[in-house]
Amino acid sequence: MLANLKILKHQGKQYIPDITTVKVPGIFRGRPVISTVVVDERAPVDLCPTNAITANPVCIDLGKCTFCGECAHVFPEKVTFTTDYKIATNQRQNLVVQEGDTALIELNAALIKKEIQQYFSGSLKLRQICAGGDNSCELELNACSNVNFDMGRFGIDFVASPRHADGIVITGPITQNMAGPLQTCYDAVPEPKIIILAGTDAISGGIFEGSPAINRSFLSKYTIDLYVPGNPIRPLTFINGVLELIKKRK
Amino acid sequence: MAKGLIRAGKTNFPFTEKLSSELTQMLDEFEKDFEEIANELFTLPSVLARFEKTGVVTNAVATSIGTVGMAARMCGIKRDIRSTHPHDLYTGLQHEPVIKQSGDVNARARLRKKEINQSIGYIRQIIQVLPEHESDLSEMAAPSRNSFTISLVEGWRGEICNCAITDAMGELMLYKIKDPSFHNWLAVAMAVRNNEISDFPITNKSFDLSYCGHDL
Repeated sequence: MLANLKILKHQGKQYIPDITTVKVPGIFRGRPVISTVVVDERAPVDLCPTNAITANPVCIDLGKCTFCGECAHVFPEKVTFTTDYKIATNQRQNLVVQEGDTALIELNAALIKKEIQQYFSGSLKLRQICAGGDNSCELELNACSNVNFDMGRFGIDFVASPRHADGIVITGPITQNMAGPLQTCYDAVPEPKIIILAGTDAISGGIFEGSPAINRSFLSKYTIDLYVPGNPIRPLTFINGVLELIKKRK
Repeated sequence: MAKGLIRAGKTNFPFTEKLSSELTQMLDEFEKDFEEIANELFTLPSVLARFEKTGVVTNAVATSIGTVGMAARMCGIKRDIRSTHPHDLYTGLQHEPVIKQSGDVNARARLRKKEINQSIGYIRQIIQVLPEHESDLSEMAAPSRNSFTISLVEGWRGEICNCAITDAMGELMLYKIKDPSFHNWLAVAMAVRNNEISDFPITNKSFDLSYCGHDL
Protein backbone atom coordinates (compact mmCIF):
# COMPACT_ATOMS: atom_id res chain seq x y z
CA MET A 1 0.00 0.00 0.00
CA LEU A 2 2.78 2.44 0.94
CA ALA A 3 4.67 1.34 -2.15
CA ASN A 4 1.60 2.13 -4.26
CA LEU A 5 1.24 5.59 -2.73
CA LYS A 6 4.89 6.20 -3.53
CA ILE A 7 4.27 5.27 -7.17
CA LEU A 8 1.26 7.61 -7.31
CA LYS A 9 3.33 10.46 -5.94
CA HIS A 10 6.26 9.74 -8.20
CA GLN A 11 4.17 9.48 -11.38
CA GLY A 12 2.49 12.76 -10.47
CA LYS A 13 -0.10 14.64 -12.49
CA GLN A 14 0.34 13.94 -16.16
CA TYR A 15 -2.57 15.85 -17.67
CA ILE A 16 -2.19 19.21 -19.40
CA PRO A 17 -3.93 21.67 -17.03
CA ASP A 18 -5.23 24.08 -19.66
CA ILE A 19 -5.67 22.55 -23.06
CA THR A 20 -6.71 25.83 -24.69
CA THR A 21 -3.57 27.85 -23.89
CA VAL A 22 -0.74 25.28 -23.68
CA LYS A 23 2.33 25.95 -25.86
CA VAL A 24 3.51 23.23 -28.23
CA PRO A 25 7.13 22.15 -27.70
CA GLY A 26 9.52 21.16 -30.47
CA ILE A 27 9.11 21.35 -34.22
CA PHE A 28 5.49 22.03 -35.01
CA ARG A 29 3.93 23.52 -38.10
CA GLY A 30 0.58 25.06 -37.35
CA ARG A 31 -1.22 28.01 -38.97
CA PRO A 32 0.98 29.46 -41.72
CA VAL A 33 1.55 33.16 -42.25
CA ILE A 34 2.29 34.34 -45.79
CA SER A 35 4.11 37.67 -46.06
CA THR A 36 3.48 40.21 -48.81
CA VAL A 37 7.11 39.91 -50.00
CA VAL A 38 7.10 39.59 -53.78
CA VAL A 39 8.39 36.27 -55.12
CA ASP A 40 7.96 34.54 -58.45
CA GLU A 41 4.36 33.44 -57.91
CA ARG A 42 4.60 30.27 -59.97
CA ALA A 43 7.56 28.91 -57.96
CA PRO A 44 5.72 28.10 -54.69
CA VAL A 45 2.75 26.83 -56.71
CA ASP A 46 4.94 24.38 -58.65
CA LEU A 47 6.78 23.37 -55.50
CA CYS A 48 3.70 22.18 -53.59
CA PRO A 49 3.21 18.40 -53.96
CA THR A 50 -0.56 18.55 -53.30
CA ASN A 51 -1.46 21.78 -55.15
CA ALA A 52 -2.36 23.43 -51.85
CA ILE A 53 -0.72 26.70 -52.94
CA THR A 54 -2.42 28.98 -55.45
CA ALA A 55 -1.09 32.22 -56.90
CA ASN A 56 -2.45 35.73 -57.28
CA PRO A 57 -2.76 36.29 -54.34
CA VAL A 58 -0.59 33.54 -52.84
CA CYS A 59 -2.83 31.28 -50.72
CA ILE A 60 -2.30 28.02 -48.84
CA ASP A 61 -5.29 25.72 -48.49
CA LEU A 62 -4.86 23.89 -45.16
CA GLY A 63 -7.42 21.36 -46.34
CA LYS A 64 -4.94 20.25 -48.99
CA CYS A 65 -1.64 21.08 -47.24
CA THR A 66 0.39 18.11 -45.99
CA PHE A 67 2.39 20.41 -43.69
CA CYS A 68 5.66 19.18 -45.20
CA GLY A 69 7.02 22.72 -44.82
CA GLU A 70 8.81 22.63 -48.18
CA CYS A 71 7.45 26.09 -49.16
CA ALA A 72 8.68 27.62 -45.89
CA HIS A 73 12.04 25.90 -46.40
CA VAL A 74 12.55 27.22 -49.93
CA PHE A 75 10.89 30.64 -49.44
CA PRO A 76 11.55 31.46 -45.76
CA GLU A 77 10.85 35.15 -46.37
CA LYS A 78 7.45 34.35 -47.90
CA VAL A 79 5.98 31.50 -45.85
CA THR A 80 6.39 30.76 -42.14
CA PHE A 81 4.50 28.19 -40.12
CA THR A 82 3.52 29.40 -36.64
CA THR A 83 2.92 27.09 -33.68
CA ASP A 84 -0.76 28.10 -33.55
CA TYR A 85 -2.61 24.78 -33.38
CA LYS A 86 -6.13 26.22 -33.31
CA ILE A 87 -6.80 25.70 -37.01
CA ALA A 88 -10.07 23.76 -37.00
CA THR A 89 -13.14 25.44 -38.49
CA ASN A 90 -16.65 24.67 -39.69
CA GLN A 91 -16.36 26.64 -42.93
CA ARG A 92 -14.26 25.14 -45.71
CA GLN A 93 -13.03 28.48 -47.09
CA ASN A 94 -11.68 29.49 -43.64
CA LEU A 95 -8.94 26.91 -44.20
CA VAL A 96 -7.51 29.00 -47.03
CA VAL A 97 -4.80 31.32 -45.67
CA GLN A 98 -4.10 34.31 -47.92
CA GLU A 99 -0.91 36.40 -48.12
CA GLY A 100 -0.89 39.24 -45.61
CA ASP A 101 -3.49 37.36 -43.58
CA THR A 102 -2.62 37.10 -39.88
CA ALA A 103 -6.12 36.52 -38.52
CA LEU A 104 -6.81 33.45 -36.40
CA ILE A 105 -8.77 30.57 -37.90
CA GLU A 106 -12.12 30.42 -36.16
CA LEU A 107 -15.49 28.77 -36.36
CA ASN A 108 -18.38 30.63 -37.91
CA ALA A 109 -20.91 30.69 -35.08
CA ALA A 110 -23.79 31.37 -37.49
CA LEU A 111 -23.19 28.02 -39.23
CA ILE A 112 -23.23 25.85 -36.10
CA LYS A 113 -26.45 23.84 -35.98
CA LYS A 114 -28.70 24.86 -33.09
CA GLU A 115 -29.05 21.33 -31.72
CA ILE A 116 -25.28 20.92 -31.29
CA GLN A 117 -25.17 23.27 -28.32
CA GLN A 118 -28.56 22.18 -27.11
CA TYR A 119 -27.67 18.50 -26.88
CA PHE A 120 -23.90 18.07 -27.05
CA SER A 121 -22.33 20.93 -25.08
CA GLY A 122 -21.83 18.76 -21.98
CA SER A 123 -21.47 15.35 -23.59
CA LEU A 124 -20.42 14.35 -27.08
CA LYS A 125 -19.87 10.72 -28.03
CA LEU A 126 -18.15 10.10 -31.34
CA ARG A 127 -17.68 7.08 -33.57
CA GLN A 128 -14.38 7.03 -35.47
CA ILE A 129 -14.43 5.73 -39.03
CA CYS A 130 -11.10 4.97 -40.62
CA ALA A 131 -11.95 5.24 -44.31
CA GLY A 132 -8.59 4.20 -45.78
CA GLY A 133 -6.42 6.18 -43.38
CA ASP A 134 -2.78 5.35 -42.71
CA ASN A 135 -3.19 5.09 -38.92
CA SER A 136 -1.53 8.44 -38.26
CA CYS A 137 -4.68 10.51 -37.64
CA GLU A 138 -6.18 7.49 -35.93
CA LEU A 139 -3.26 7.31 -33.46
CA GLU A 140 -3.58 11.02 -32.76
CA LEU A 141 -7.32 10.66 -32.15
CA ASN A 142 -6.49 7.88 -29.68
CA ALA A 143 -4.05 10.26 -28.01
CA CYS A 144 -6.90 12.76 -27.45
CA SER A 145 -8.24 10.40 -24.77
CA ASN A 146 -4.90 9.59 -23.10
CA VAL A 147 -3.73 10.86 -19.70
CA ASN A 148 -2.06 13.96 -21.17
CA PHE A 149 -4.82 15.39 -23.32
CA ASP A 150 -7.71 13.77 -21.43
CA MET A 151 -10.55 14.85 -23.70
CA GLY A 152 -12.95 12.87 -21.48
CA ARG A 153 -12.86 15.67 -18.90
CA PHE A 154 -15.03 17.72 -21.29
CA GLY A 155 -17.45 14.85 -21.84
CA ILE A 156 -16.01 14.10 -25.28
CA ASP A 157 -15.34 10.41 -25.90
CA PHE A 158 -14.99 7.83 -28.63
CA VAL A 159 -17.47 4.98 -28.43
CA ALA A 160 -17.39 1.49 -29.92
CA SER A 161 -20.73 1.58 -31.74
CA PRO A 162 -22.50 4.12 -33.97
CA ARG A 163 -25.66 3.36 -31.94
CA HIS A 164 -24.01 5.01 -28.92
CA ALA A 165 -22.67 7.96 -30.89
CA ASP A 166 -23.74 11.56 -31.51
CA GLY A 167 -21.64 11.85 -34.62
CA ILE A 168 -18.84 10.42 -36.71
CA VAL A 169 -15.19 11.38 -37.19
CA ILE A 170 -13.87 10.41 -40.62
CA THR A 171 -10.16 9.84 -41.27
CA GLY A 172 -8.53 8.79 -44.53
CA PRO A 173 -9.37 9.74 -48.13
CA ILE A 174 -12.47 7.43 -48.23
CA THR A 175 -11.54 4.42 -50.31
CA GLN A 176 -13.95 2.61 -52.63
CA ASN A 177 -14.03 -0.26 -50.12
CA MET A 178 -15.02 2.02 -47.25
CA ALA A 179 -17.61 4.20 -49.03
CA GLY A 180 -20.39 1.67 -48.31
CA PRO A 181 -19.49 0.92 -44.66
CA LEU A 182 -19.13 4.69 -44.04
CA GLN A 183 -22.71 5.27 -45.22
CA THR A 184 -23.97 2.30 -43.17
CA CYS A 185 -22.24 3.61 -40.05
CA TYR A 186 -23.55 7.15 -40.51
CA ASP A 187 -27.10 5.86 -41.03
CA ALA A 188 -26.84 3.87 -37.79
CA VAL A 189 -26.12 7.00 -35.72
CA PRO A 190 -29.33 8.40 -34.20
CA GLU A 191 -30.42 11.98 -35.01
CA PRO A 192 -29.31 14.67 -34.36
CA LYS A 193 -25.78 13.83 -35.51
CA ILE A 194 -22.65 15.58 -36.64
CA ILE A 195 -19.84 14.88 -39.11
CA ILE A 196 -16.20 15.77 -38.42
CA LEU A 197 -13.45 15.41 -41.03
CA ALA A 198 -10.05 14.82 -39.41
CA GLY A 199 -6.87 15.27 -41.42
CA THR A 200 -5.87 16.44 -44.87
CA ASP A 201 -6.75 13.08 -46.45
CA ALA A 202 -10.34 13.27 -45.17
CA ILE A 203 -10.83 16.96 -46.01
CA SER A 204 -9.58 16.92 -49.61
CA GLY A 205 -8.25 13.44 -50.40
CA GLY A 206 -4.73 14.74 -49.74
CA ILE A 207 -2.09 13.02 -51.83
CA PHE A 208 -4.80 10.64 -53.10
CA GLU A 209 -6.95 13.39 -54.60
CA GLY A 210 -8.25 12.29 -58.00
CA SER A 211 -7.31 8.64 -57.48
CA PRO A 212 -9.76 6.08 -58.94
CA ALA A 213 -9.36 4.07 -55.72
CA ILE A 214 -11.28 6.63 -53.67
CA ASN A 215 -14.98 7.47 -53.60
CA ARG A 216 -15.89 10.70 -51.84
CA SER A 217 -19.51 10.96 -52.92
CA PHE A 218 -20.69 10.61 -49.29
CA LEU A 219 -19.33 14.05 -48.45
CA SER A 220 -21.38 15.89 -51.07
CA LYS A 221 -24.60 14.66 -49.46
CA TYR A 222 -24.20 16.19 -46.01
CA THR A 223 -23.13 19.35 -44.18
CA ILE A 224 -19.73 18.97 -42.57
CA ASP A 225 -19.80 20.31 -39.01
CA LEU A 226 -16.06 20.54 -38.42
CA TYR A 227 -12.88 20.44 -40.51
CA VAL A 228 -9.76 19.52 -38.53
CA PRO A 229 -6.69 20.02 -40.74
CA GLY A 230 -3.31 18.39 -40.14
CA ASN A 231 -1.22 15.60 -41.56
CA PRO A 232 -1.73 13.99 -39.17
CA ILE A 233 -3.98 16.13 -36.99
CA ARG A 234 -2.74 17.30 -33.61
CA PRO A 235 -4.77 16.31 -30.49
CA LEU A 236 -4.78 19.98 -29.42
CA THR A 237 -6.24 21.00 -32.80
CA PHE A 238 -8.96 18.37 -32.56
CA ILE A 239 -9.95 18.99 -28.93
CA ASN A 240 -9.98 22.79 -29.26
CA GLY A 241 -11.96 22.56 -32.49
CA VAL A 242 -14.59 20.28 -30.97
CA LEU A 243 -14.80 22.43 -27.83
CA GLU A 244 -15.41 25.51 -29.94
CA LEU A 245 -18.09 23.63 -31.85
CA ILE A 246 -20.04 22.51 -28.79
CA LYS A 247 -19.47 25.53 -26.56
CA LYS A 248 -19.38 28.52 -28.88
CA ARG A 249 -22.17 30.96 -28.22
CA LYS A 250 -23.73 33.04 -30.93
CA MET B 1 3.62 11.82 -35.18
CA ALA B 2 6.52 12.68 -37.43
CA LYS B 3 4.90 11.84 -40.77
CA GLY B 4 5.09 15.46 -41.94
CA LEU B 5 8.82 15.69 -41.23
CA ILE B 6 9.94 13.57 -44.18
CA ARG B 7 9.78 14.05 -47.93
CA ALA B 8 10.70 11.53 -50.60
CA GLY B 9 14.50 11.26 -50.39
CA LYS B 10 15.07 13.94 -47.76
CA THR B 11 14.06 15.76 -44.60
CA ASN B 12 14.13 19.49 -43.89
CA PHE B 13 14.28 18.91 -40.15
CA PRO B 14 17.73 17.61 -39.13
CA PHE B 15 18.39 15.77 -35.87
CA THR B 16 20.58 18.25 -34.00
CA GLU B 17 22.78 18.07 -30.89
CA LYS B 18 20.09 20.02 -29.05
CA LEU B 19 17.38 17.51 -29.97
CA SER B 20 19.75 14.72 -29.01
CA SER B 21 20.22 16.06 -25.47
CA GLU B 22 16.46 16.71 -25.13
CA LEU B 23 15.78 13.13 -26.20
CA THR B 24 18.32 11.78 -23.72
CA GLN B 25 16.71 13.78 -20.93
CA MET B 26 13.25 12.54 -21.94
CA LEU B 27 14.44 8.92 -21.99
CA ASP B 28 16.02 9.32 -18.54
CA GLU B 29 12.73 10.55 -17.12
CA PHE B 30 10.61 8.03 -19.01
CA GLU B 31 12.75 5.01 -18.16
CA LYS B 32 12.28 5.55 -14.41
CA ASP B 33 8.49 5.93 -14.71
CA PHE B 34 8.27 2.99 -17.07
CA GLU B 35 10.32 0.60 -14.91
CA GLU B 36 8.27 1.55 -11.88
CA ILE B 37 4.90 0.90 -13.53
CA ALA B 38 6.11 -2.23 -15.37
CA ASN B 39 7.44 -3.66 -12.12
CA GLU B 40 4.10 -2.95 -10.41
CA LEU B 41 2.22 -4.57 -13.28
CA PHE B 42 4.23 -7.78 -13.42
CA THR B 43 4.20 -8.36 -9.64
CA LEU B 44 0.46 -7.87 -9.05
CA PRO B 45 -1.15 -11.32 -8.61
CA SER B 46 -4.47 -10.03 -10.02
CA VAL B 47 -2.73 -8.94 -13.22
CA LEU B 48 -0.79 -12.18 -13.60
CA ALA B 49 -4.00 -14.16 -13.08
CA ARG B 50 -5.48 -12.33 -16.08
CA PHE B 51 -2.33 -12.46 -18.23
CA GLU B 52 -1.11 -16.03 -17.81
CA LYS B 53 -2.52 -18.73 -20.12
CA THR B 54 -5.01 -16.23 -21.62
CA GLY B 55 -5.31 -15.89 -25.40
CA VAL B 56 -2.76 -18.55 -26.29
CA VAL B 57 -1.49 -18.99 -29.85
CA THR B 58 0.83 -21.98 -30.11
CA ASN B 59 4.00 -22.10 -32.14
CA ALA B 60 2.38 -24.57 -34.57
CA VAL B 61 -0.65 -22.32 -35.20
CA ALA B 62 1.45 -19.15 -35.53
CA THR B 63 3.78 -20.92 -37.97
CA SER B 64 0.90 -22.17 -40.11
CA ILE B 65 -0.80 -18.76 -40.40
CA GLY B 66 2.50 -16.88 -40.80
CA THR B 67 2.32 -14.30 -38.02
CA VAL B 68 4.96 -11.58 -37.96
CA GLY B 69 6.62 -9.30 -35.42
CA MET B 70 5.76 -9.72 -31.76
CA ALA B 71 2.91 -12.08 -32.69
CA ALA B 72 5.61 -14.48 -33.96
CA ARG B 73 8.29 -13.87 -31.34
CA MET B 74 5.81 -14.49 -28.46
CA CYS B 75 5.76 -18.23 -29.23
CA GLY B 76 9.29 -19.13 -30.17
CA ILE B 77 9.38 -18.03 -33.82
CA LYS B 78 12.57 -16.11 -34.51
CA ARG B 79 11.24 -13.64 -37.08
CA ASP B 80 12.70 -10.14 -37.08
CA ILE B 81 13.82 -8.09 -40.10
CA ARG B 82 16.25 -6.15 -37.89
CA SER B 83 18.37 -9.29 -37.46
CA THR B 84 17.68 -11.22 -40.69
CA HIS B 85 17.84 -8.24 -43.10
CA PRO B 86 19.56 -5.44 -41.17
CA HIS B 87 19.60 -2.13 -43.04
CA ASP B 88 20.86 1.40 -42.40
CA LEU B 89 21.68 1.89 -38.71
CA TYR B 90 20.66 -1.66 -37.82
CA THR B 91 23.75 -3.05 -39.54
CA GLY B 92 25.86 -1.74 -36.67
CA LEU B 93 23.58 -2.92 -33.87
CA GLN B 94 23.81 -6.75 -34.16
CA HIS B 95 20.17 -6.99 -33.11
CA GLU B 96 19.23 -10.12 -31.19
CA PRO B 97 15.42 -10.62 -31.16
CA VAL B 98 13.62 -11.06 -27.84
CA ILE B 99 11.86 -14.44 -27.92
CA LYS B 100 9.15 -15.75 -25.58
CA GLN B 101 7.64 -19.23 -25.63
CA SER B 102 4.20 -19.28 -23.96
CA GLY B 103 2.23 -17.42 -26.69
CA ASP B 104 -0.21 -15.93 -24.17
CA VAL B 105 -1.11 -12.36 -23.13
CA ASN B 106 1.67 -12.56 -20.56
CA ALA B 107 4.27 -13.41 -23.22
CA ARG B 108 3.14 -10.50 -25.41
CA ALA B 109 3.20 -8.06 -22.48
CA ARG B 110 6.66 -9.14 -21.31
CA LEU B 111 7.96 -9.10 -24.87
CA ARG B 112 6.81 -5.49 -25.23
CA LYS B 113 8.51 -4.53 -22.00
CA LYS B 114 11.82 -6.08 -23.07
CA GLU B 115 11.61 -4.58 -26.55
CA ILE B 116 11.01 -1.12 -25.09
CA ASN B 117 14.16 -1.53 -22.96
CA GLN B 118 16.04 -2.76 -26.02
CA SER B 119 14.86 0.20 -28.13
CA ILE B 120 15.85 2.72 -25.46
CA GLY B 121 19.31 1.14 -25.44
CA TYR B 122 19.57 1.36 -29.24
CA ILE B 123 18.48 5.01 -29.31
CA ARG B 124 21.05 5.91 -26.65
CA GLN B 125 23.74 4.10 -28.64
CA ILE B 126 22.80 5.58 -32.03
CA ILE B 127 22.62 9.21 -30.90
CA GLN B 128 26.17 9.04 -29.57
CA VAL B 129 27.39 9.74 -33.08
CA LEU B 130 25.15 12.04 -35.12
CA PRO B 131 25.66 11.96 -38.88
CA GLU B 132 26.07 15.31 -40.65
CA HIS B 133 22.86 16.69 -42.13
CA GLU B 134 23.02 16.87 -45.89
CA SER B 135 20.88 19.89 -46.64
CA ASP B 136 21.77 20.19 -50.31
CA LEU B 137 20.55 16.91 -51.72
CA SER B 138 20.20 16.55 -55.45
CA GLU B 139 16.84 15.42 -56.76
CA MET B 140 16.18 11.70 -56.77
CA ALA B 141 16.59 9.98 -60.12
CA ALA B 142 13.47 8.74 -61.92
CA PRO B 143 12.53 5.10 -61.18
CA SER B 144 13.98 2.44 -63.53
CA ARG B 145 11.76 1.00 -66.24
CA ASN B 146 9.99 -2.37 -65.94
CA SER B 147 11.21 -2.89 -62.40
CA PHE B 148 9.89 -4.60 -59.32
CA THR B 149 11.20 -3.42 -55.96
CA ILE B 150 10.38 -4.84 -52.58
CA SER B 151 11.40 -3.40 -49.22
CA LEU B 152 11.04 -4.79 -45.70
CA VAL B 153 11.23 -2.81 -42.47
CA GLU B 154 10.56 -4.12 -38.97
CA GLY B 155 7.84 -1.83 -37.63
CA TRP B 156 6.67 -2.13 -34.04
CA ARG B 157 3.87 -4.52 -35.04
CA GLY B 158 6.11 -6.56 -37.35
CA GLU B 159 7.44 -6.44 -40.86
CA ILE B 160 6.06 -3.73 -43.16
CA CYS B 161 6.42 -4.64 -46.80
CA ASN B 162 6.40 -2.07 -49.61
CA CYS B 163 6.25 -3.22 -53.25
CA ALA B 164 6.55 -1.00 -56.32
CA ILE B 165 6.22 -1.96 -59.98
CA THR B 166 7.11 0.40 -62.83
CA ASP B 167 6.04 0.21 -66.48
CA ALA B 168 8.01 0.56 -69.73
CA MET B 169 8.14 4.37 -69.27
CA GLY B 170 9.46 4.17 -65.71
CA GLU B 171 6.10 5.39 -64.37
CA LEU B 172 4.66 3.86 -61.23
CA MET B 173 2.20 1.13 -62.26
CA LEU B 174 1.40 -0.31 -58.85
CA TYR B 175 2.35 0.44 -55.28
CA LYS B 176 1.30 -1.97 -52.57
CA ILE B 177 1.94 -1.72 -48.85
CA LYS B 178 1.39 -4.78 -46.70
CA ASP B 179 0.90 -4.01 -43.03
CA PRO B 180 1.91 -6.58 -40.35
CA SER B 181 -1.68 -6.58 -39.06
CA PHE B 182 -2.69 -8.28 -42.30
CA HIS B 183 -1.11 -11.52 -40.99
CA ASN B 184 -1.74 -11.03 -37.32
CA TRP B 185 -5.53 -10.48 -37.22
CA LEU B 186 -6.00 -14.21 -37.85
CA ALA B 187 -3.85 -14.84 -34.76
CA VAL B 188 -6.32 -12.79 -32.67
CA ALA B 189 -9.16 -14.92 -34.01
CA MET B 190 -7.25 -18.08 -33.06
CA ALA B 191 -6.25 -16.70 -29.65
CA VAL B 192 -9.81 -16.02 -28.46
CA ARG B 193 -11.05 -19.53 -29.22
CA ASN B 194 -12.23 -21.39 -26.09
CA ASN B 195 -11.59 -18.28 -23.99
CA GLU B 196 -14.18 -16.48 -21.90
CA ILE B 197 -15.82 -13.50 -23.56
CA SER B 198 -14.45 -11.31 -20.75
CA ASP B 199 -10.93 -12.15 -21.93
CA PHE B 200 -11.56 -10.82 -25.42
CA PRO B 201 -10.56 -7.18 -24.75
CA ILE B 202 -7.29 -8.10 -23.04
CA THR B 203 -6.43 -10.59 -25.78
CA ASN B 204 -7.32 -8.16 -28.56
CA LYS B 205 -5.32 -5.32 -27.01
CA SER B 206 -2.33 -7.55 -26.28
CA PHE B 207 -1.90 -7.78 -30.06
CA ASP B 208 -2.82 -4.09 -30.54
CA LEU B 209 -3.30 -4.42 -34.28
CA SER B 210 -4.15 -1.78 -36.82
CA TYR B 211 -7.57 -1.63 -38.48
CA CYS B 212 -6.14 0.69 -41.11
CA GLY B 213 -3.65 -1.73 -42.56
CA HIS B 214 -5.94 -4.72 -42.86
CA ASP B 215 -8.75 -4.58 -45.36
CA LEU B 216 -9.69 -0.97 -45.90
